[in-house]
Amino acid sequence: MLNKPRITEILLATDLSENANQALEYAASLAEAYSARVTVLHVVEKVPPNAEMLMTATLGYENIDEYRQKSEVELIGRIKGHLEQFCADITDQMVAECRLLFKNILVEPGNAAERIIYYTETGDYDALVMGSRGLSLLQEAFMGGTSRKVLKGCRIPMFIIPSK
Amino acid sequence: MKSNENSLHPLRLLVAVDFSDCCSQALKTVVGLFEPRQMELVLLHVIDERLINECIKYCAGDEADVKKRLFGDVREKLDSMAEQEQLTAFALQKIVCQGVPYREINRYAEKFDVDFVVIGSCGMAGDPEAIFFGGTTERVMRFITRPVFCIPPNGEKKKEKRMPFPCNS
Repeated sequence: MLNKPRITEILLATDLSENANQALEYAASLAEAYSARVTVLHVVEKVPPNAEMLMTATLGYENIDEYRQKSEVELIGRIKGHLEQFCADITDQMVAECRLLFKNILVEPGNAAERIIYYTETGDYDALVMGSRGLSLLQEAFMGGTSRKVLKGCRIPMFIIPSK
Repeated sequence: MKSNENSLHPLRLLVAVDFSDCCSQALKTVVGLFEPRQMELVLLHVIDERLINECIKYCAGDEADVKKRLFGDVREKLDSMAEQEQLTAFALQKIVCQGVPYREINRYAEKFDVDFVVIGSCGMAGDPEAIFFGGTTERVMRFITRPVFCIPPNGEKKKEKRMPFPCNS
C-alpha cells in the first residue's frame, strides 16, 4: 500500500526578483492549505575573486570574509523585510498568522541550481517552489535557466511559477 | 493557488498523460494530495504528429484510418487509467488531441484556465531532439503562463554516491 503523499515542509528558492514574489505567494498558499512550513533559500552566486576584492576595497571592508559576513546579514535582513511586507499585504486576505508559515531563512554562496538541488536532497522537504523567468531558446542555450537545471536534478515534486 | 481545504472553489488541474510510469506516479501524487471535492481534473493526451506521420509512412493505413485507430486506443487507455487510478470520484474531463505535445499542453492550460499543470518528469528518454531542445517538460516550462507541478519518478531522493578513494596506507 502506497503512503499518501503529504506536504509538511516546503523549500522556497528565491532570487529576490519580482517574479520570486509570485513564487512566495504560491508557497505561502500551499503552506496554508497543508499546514506546512516554508524554508526560504537564497543563493548568492559567486563573483570572481578579483571582482570580490574590488568590491571589498570600494565598500571599505577590511577583508573578504568581513564583506561576505556583512552581505549575508544584509541579505537575511532583506529577505526578512520581504516576508514582513508580504505578510502585511496578505494578512487581510489570507492567514492572520502568516509569519508562522515561514520556518527558516537560508542564505548560501555558490551555484544556485547546485545549492537548491543539494538542499532538496539533504533536507526533509516534500516540495520545492521556485519561479521561472522564461528565458528565450537562445538565452537558455547559452546561459541555461536555473529552473531548468534544477528540474533535471531535483528528486522531489517541484512547483515552477512562471513570470507573468 | 486559488483554493485550500476549506475553500468552495475546487482547483482545476491539467495532467499531461503519456501513459508512462512516471506519469502514473504523478497522477497518484496529485490524487493523494487533494480530496475529490477540492479538485477538477483534466487529463490530456497529445498524440504526437510525428507518430501519425510515421504510422502513415510505414503503411499502417491511410490518414483517417490511422487517426481513428490511434484516437480510439488512447481514449480506451484513458478510460482504463481513470478506473485504475480511481479517478471516478473527481470531476473529470478526458481530452485526446493531436499536435506538438508542449504546444497543446500550453494551449489547453490556457483554454481551461487551469490552476496548474501536472507533469511527471522522466528526463529525455529516447528522444534525440530533447538533447538540443529539452524534453517536453522543459519545453512546456519555457512557454507556459501557468504554474507547473513537476513530479519526479517515485519522488525518491537520490542515494548518496559512494566513490572509491585510492590511498597508499
